[in-house]
Amino acid sequence: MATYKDIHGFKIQNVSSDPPAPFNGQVWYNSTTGNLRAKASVSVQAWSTANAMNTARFYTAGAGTQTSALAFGGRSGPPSPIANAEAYNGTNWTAITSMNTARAYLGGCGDSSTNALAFGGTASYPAIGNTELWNGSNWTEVNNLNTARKRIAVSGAGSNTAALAFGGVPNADAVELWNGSNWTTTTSLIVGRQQAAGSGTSTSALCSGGESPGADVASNELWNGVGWTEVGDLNSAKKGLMGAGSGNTSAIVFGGSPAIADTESWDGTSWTEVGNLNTGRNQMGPAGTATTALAFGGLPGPANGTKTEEWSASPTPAVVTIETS
Amino acid sequence: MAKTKQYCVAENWGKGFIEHSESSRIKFAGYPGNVWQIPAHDKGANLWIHKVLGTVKTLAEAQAIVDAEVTAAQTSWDALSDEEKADSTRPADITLEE
Repeated sequence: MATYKDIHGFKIQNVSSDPPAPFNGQVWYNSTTGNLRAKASVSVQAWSTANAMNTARFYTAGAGTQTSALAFGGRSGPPSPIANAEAYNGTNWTAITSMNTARAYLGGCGDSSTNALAFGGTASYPAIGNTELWNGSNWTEVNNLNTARKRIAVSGAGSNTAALAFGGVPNADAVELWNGSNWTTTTSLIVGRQQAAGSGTSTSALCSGGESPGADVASNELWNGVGWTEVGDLNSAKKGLMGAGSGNTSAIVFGGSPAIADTESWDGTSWTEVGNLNTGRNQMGPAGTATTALAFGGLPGPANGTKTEEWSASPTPAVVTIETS
Repeated sequence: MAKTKQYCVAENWGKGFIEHSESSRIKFAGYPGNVWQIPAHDKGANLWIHKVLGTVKTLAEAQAIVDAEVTAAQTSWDALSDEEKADSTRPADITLEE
């Protein structure tokens, strides 16, 4: 077996304090603390707090990335829905032009704060099919969903020209595909549901959890661009959760009703419990991917309505103690 | 039995209030009224309370703050119309753990 010296050309150093600037992969013995130490890439999977939104909201929609996101619509408090929208630049939220139709329980997608789609939801009580397209300056009314729905789960492609809307109320198994101009009805969900988490793109998506009807489910379905397949369930059944991910092989879901803090990570086969939200909640807005995501707003309110958290699952170089027992 | 959790009140100012490195080491649970539950007898948690200028609360004090917030939210929900109630869920009571 190769020794440390064989690999690095020198022995493990015996030092009285940690070196000031170790390189990644360096190992040393700290004689003061009696620990074997190393500089290694550590995967920190955790949520941190971020600056609050200007307008409290829940039953909202989100789009974009962790450093270029949008929040639009929702409720700010009982009873009326709002049209208000905000953009996040990685540090602060700024109010932008409001949607044409105030609504809550809507679906949303898009790849940045300059490019998004808002669809469905409820303006009073009945579901609506209205769809609006955001181009970075204005919201424009475009063609409606074929089936008006609220409490939709959503997966958006890399732009506002390709999206997938699935589930909701009253048609819990309905699925529609957006091509930039029109919605087309496509293959139904296997397990109809509302308040599910959606992640991915219009050709590679996941529909996870939700309520089907009257009971929370852990069911997880994978969309391959043509049809749905049941794959590994979530570790716990829940509704009102959110999802983030760039495809059907990598995603996270977080939160849930009434105030769940759990985050689960999908590797293409199964879900693993990872770092919790710092404040458990449901009906947030989501943005980002499985490695850099954003969670904003949510219930229970109204105190949680402006809260923002940032998810990081990226390997970060750090000095660690090697356990030898 | 020694308590395993402690409570404090601290206003979440956004970025830097809870860092990724803190969240990965300390189990935080935020509640209405800026109430935060963190592990007791934990050096990292105590340092975080100091950092955020948190005010340590007993379980009873923290529960009273959370109860007041939840009661206000429930009162708002109770005033909704039946249609609006059907489209949302009444805020649930929250019981903090020792």
